[in-house]
Amino acid sequence: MRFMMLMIPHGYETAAPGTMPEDREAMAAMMAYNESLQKAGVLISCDGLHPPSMGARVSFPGRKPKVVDGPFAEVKEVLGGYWVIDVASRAEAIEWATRCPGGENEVIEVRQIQELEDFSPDLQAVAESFPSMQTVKK
Amino acid sequence: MRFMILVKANKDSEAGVMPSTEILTEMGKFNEELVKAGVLLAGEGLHPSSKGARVRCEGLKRTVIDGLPSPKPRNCWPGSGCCRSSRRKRPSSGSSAAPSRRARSRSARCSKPPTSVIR
Repeated sequence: MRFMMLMIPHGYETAAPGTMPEDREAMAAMMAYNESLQKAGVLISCDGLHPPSMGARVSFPGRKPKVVDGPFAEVKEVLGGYWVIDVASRAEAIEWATRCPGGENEVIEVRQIQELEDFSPDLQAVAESFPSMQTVKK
Repeated sequence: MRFMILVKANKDSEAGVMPSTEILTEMGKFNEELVKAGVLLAGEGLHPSSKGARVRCEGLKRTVIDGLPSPKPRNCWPGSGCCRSSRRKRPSSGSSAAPSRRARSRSARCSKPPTSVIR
């Protein structure tokens, strides 16, 4: 079962463009955690994200794309990074999240990835009609 | 440069309502365009947040908040895509070409998480 662990650092929603981690100890602890995921054979990928002030939002009013540059004043929670892991159960995914050396007021949301077999047979048929997409596998 | 494209949840996705075959076909075509352009690294959909959990970090304490019983949309991500692009602004291609319904474009607000379960 694949899960996404979504890191939500409170305060990151107002971070200035170019903000990067500066705490050497926290960085070392996070790298050791990432390495433990890798050594356990459960890590598929992980990345950190630049702050939303460097991003953009695309919405579709009237089905027409509208681009708004960050930061986004109305947003209370933003993503700071993520891990994709492959584990045997939801409990194991949560267990891994609790081991993360997260800072004060950081929250990790654990969400299961939808696999093809989770869809109904007719929707699976639609997905299978796009053969080039079948190359995107875990 | 790699970018993450985050698709926000809506009432339907949070209620576990699967997309129609029409919408899925449109989205499939869009994803295929990304593949053919050689910019797609990965793309996934997520199960509703009611099936998920949150882990809050406070010092060495970890609090597990299990799922969300409310059907209200949360500030969460039912899907994401990772793209590689040489430019940030792509006026005629990229995410602005994504098939989307109006409901999907609205920002879902986060409701307060339920009582936490401390492990």
